[in-house]
Amino acid sequence: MADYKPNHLNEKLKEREQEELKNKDLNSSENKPLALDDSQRVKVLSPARLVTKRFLKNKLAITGLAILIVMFTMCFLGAALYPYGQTDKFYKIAPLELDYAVCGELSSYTKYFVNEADMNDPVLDDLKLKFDSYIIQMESSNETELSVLQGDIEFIIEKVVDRVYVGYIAAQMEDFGTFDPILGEITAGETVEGLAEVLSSAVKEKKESVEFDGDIYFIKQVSKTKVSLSRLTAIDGEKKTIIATKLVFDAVNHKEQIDNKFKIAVLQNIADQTKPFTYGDKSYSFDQEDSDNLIIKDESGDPYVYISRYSTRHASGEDSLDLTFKMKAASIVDQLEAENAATYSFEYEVPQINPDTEQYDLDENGNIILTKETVNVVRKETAGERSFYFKYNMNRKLITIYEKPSAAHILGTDGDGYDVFARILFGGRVSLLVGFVVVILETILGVIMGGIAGFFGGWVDTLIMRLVDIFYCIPTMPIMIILASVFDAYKVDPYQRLFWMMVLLGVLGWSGIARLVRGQILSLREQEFMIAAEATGLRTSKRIFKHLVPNVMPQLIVSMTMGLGGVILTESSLSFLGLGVKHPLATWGNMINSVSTIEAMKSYTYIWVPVGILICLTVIAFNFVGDGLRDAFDPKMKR
Amino acid sequence: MFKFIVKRLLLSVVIFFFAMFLIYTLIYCLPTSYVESTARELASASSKMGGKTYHEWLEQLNEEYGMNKGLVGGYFSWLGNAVQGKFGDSWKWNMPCTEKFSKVIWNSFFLGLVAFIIETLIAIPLGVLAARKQYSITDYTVTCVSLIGISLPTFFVATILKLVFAVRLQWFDISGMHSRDYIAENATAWTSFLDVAKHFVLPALTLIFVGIGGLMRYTRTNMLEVLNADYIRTARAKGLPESKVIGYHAFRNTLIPIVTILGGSLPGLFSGALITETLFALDGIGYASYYSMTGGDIPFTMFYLSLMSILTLLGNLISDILYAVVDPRVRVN
Repeated sequence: MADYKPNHLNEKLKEREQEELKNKDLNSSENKPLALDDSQRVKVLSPARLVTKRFLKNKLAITGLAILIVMFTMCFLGAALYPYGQTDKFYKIAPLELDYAVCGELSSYTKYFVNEADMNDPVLDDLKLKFDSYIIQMESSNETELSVLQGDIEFIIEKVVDRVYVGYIAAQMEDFGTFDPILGEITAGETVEGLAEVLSSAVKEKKESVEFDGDIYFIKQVSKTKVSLSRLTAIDGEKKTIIATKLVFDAVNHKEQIDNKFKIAVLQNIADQTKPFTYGDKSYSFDQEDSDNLIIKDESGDPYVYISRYSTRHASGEDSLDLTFKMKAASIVDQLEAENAATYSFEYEVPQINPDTEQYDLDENGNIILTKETVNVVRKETAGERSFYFKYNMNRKLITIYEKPSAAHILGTDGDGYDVFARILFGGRVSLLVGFVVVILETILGVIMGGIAGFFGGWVDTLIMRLVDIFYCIPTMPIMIILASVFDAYKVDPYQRLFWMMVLLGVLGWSGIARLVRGQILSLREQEFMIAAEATGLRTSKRIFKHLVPNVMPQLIVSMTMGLGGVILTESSLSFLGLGVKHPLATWGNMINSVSTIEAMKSYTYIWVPVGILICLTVIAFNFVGDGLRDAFDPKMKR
Repeated sequence: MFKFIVKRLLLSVVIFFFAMFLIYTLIYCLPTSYVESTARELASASSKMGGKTYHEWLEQLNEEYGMNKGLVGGYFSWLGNAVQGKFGDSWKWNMPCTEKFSKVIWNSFFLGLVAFIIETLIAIPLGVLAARKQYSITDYTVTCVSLIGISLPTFFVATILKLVFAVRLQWFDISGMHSRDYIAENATAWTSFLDVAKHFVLPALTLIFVGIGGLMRYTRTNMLEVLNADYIRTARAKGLPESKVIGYHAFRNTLIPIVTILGGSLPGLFSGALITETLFALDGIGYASYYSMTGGDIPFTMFYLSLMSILTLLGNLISDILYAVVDPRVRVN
């Protein structure tokens, strides 16, 4: 027994074969008759070689293996070598028509207090708030002056010129006293000569007010013998005044701020444009350019401020445009308003934004470089307000979404500007990784549980098998969906989700393997080699894991290979439903999900079809290999 | 035989008890804030339609599901209600779970049934054919097709079918149960049936495509096993014509495991097709439960999970019993 070797015959045959090969050259011409045990007739292979040989004969299995090798190289090596990552966004610089400037009349009047001290006067503040509505009232009735009595105060609002209004406190009402119409007596704090006669006639004529000596007296009948009087006294001297305007002041040097006091001075003198006025210690004069645009020149006759009815601002809201553009814009808007046209386009020198720095291009002197572009004007009306937008093509950095396949991007880019091929490679990595981790987890759990159940039998077996039954009847997909929606609600990190998904799939999936292992072990347990192992006094764990489990390996390997495909399918289905691996991590499932709307499905077949085919190919390959392995391990199937 | 069935039935009840306990534990362990926020959303959504308030929903959940009685006590109180058919009101569908179930189940059932029948009619003959001519071109084709069927993800098949038949050819609608111009008042029973049937074509095709591979492979493997058996050699040896050997001796024996597995999958017709129904927006049990589960509708989810467990157990039971009935060699004890 000492020199017993299991493949004794095989070794002998091999030796003989070697010898014959050596002697072949010597007597190759001889044609010896074949003996029964001749190595040319009988070839004994080791079990592994036998399985390999059978496996290699299976064309489908080889195809599957080839696909898997390609897939693995692609996903693991290819992903490392491919220049782009899964979350590399791609940009392109392309012209995009953007708003440059907005031009239009102001929607509300700008109000200035003539005296700064009036700023805190509550009465005047009240007027300021209501100014716009008074102006609207005047405009609608075409009045040039409006007197409003509000409480005890009379306001007067006057139109100076178009778009300039002045409002001030004109008079104040006070209680004057009482008057007895029968006796003709006035009871008041002061005596006004001749008022009594005027009042008597007014009461007889049932007038509500009467004017006397520049004041207005209001009459209110209390009883037959008593009339209460109140007097509206005009305010003398400097009145508290607000000037409101819709005119826009633009300094010739557009960086210069125009002082509010200067504006007030201009507006106060705007009624008479022939007269020069002084502000500070300088004098200025008006000059009419056309019907709407005024120019204010300083002493030397140079234009200092342009006044226009249009406000032209940069699209960002800043007042940073230079005057030439503003005047050009105002003239265009005038023309459009006159023609009642909505669009216009013209050539103009405009600045370009550098797409990388997002700043204007500057030349060496620090001036903005201007290029000639076609500027389009578009009218937009919102809530009764009319503004004109000036737009032209600006070069901007854009995310390249849904780009068709090209040399730079083999399969184009997706809706986030990611390279589709890079995402396929990385997605495959995740899918394969999930597959392997889950199957290995399942197998470890299954082998331990099944091994224990099969080996010990009895109540341990019953207990474990009932546990298997319980896990078998828990539906995997619904459980995964519920947990995924909980993860969604808590916005769990994508990597953590991935981890939990693998753990859960493993825990929910071990029952099949446990059943298989137990069944195998039950039959193997009764075989002679196990009795021998027991007789040699081996430890239980060694007997299970060294002697029994290796014998279960063939079935285990087959079921693992097939299981891999299944897990990849489950993972991709979950990801497709948006419940598995989440953005920005790529998997094949969520790549298809990202283009699952009808429109995207139709237009972007080059994104989802290759991905779907890859899922399918990988799963098929695993199944082919599993099938091939099963056939190879199980020669019974051969006819 | 009767004793065997009773024994298996009792075992199934025990398994169901523990399986549902596991599921209940899982639902019980859902973070409270998740349950509460779902209930709150639900209350705000349903308040417009005169639904229940947030507190009413939570109270009802606590009452029906014993969420306030601790894990074990709660489980027993839920089980007590469930056994009487009281699964509570679905949050998502705003009606009792059982009512929603009875409304949608037949859609699922008929979809599953049609797919099941067609699958069986195609798969079994092809499987037998492949086994008869092992390693021939027919065999490779059948094996390839069945493997492709198994390997295709449902959603991919559905998307491809939609693209080809609904978007490009425009023979069918992309999803839904009725056409856009369908008016319930004008429809007779027959036109209504036709309309629904038309919308079942693509989902049924998807199910057939995905399901046919497994059955085909199973048939082939079993037929191969039978063809290797001694009694087939005997039949051939005694000079029976090949058609009789295959059609009579081999096929009938192949049928044993197939009938078992087909019988076992019958209860599955009631569990609906989760992904297919969702993708085609067919108002079946799978679709209803998908939206319940993603929407945190705990009552309907529990109902669906219990249903699934029962159906799985029933399937196992049926296939075990059928195995014992169909194959006289199996001794029942």
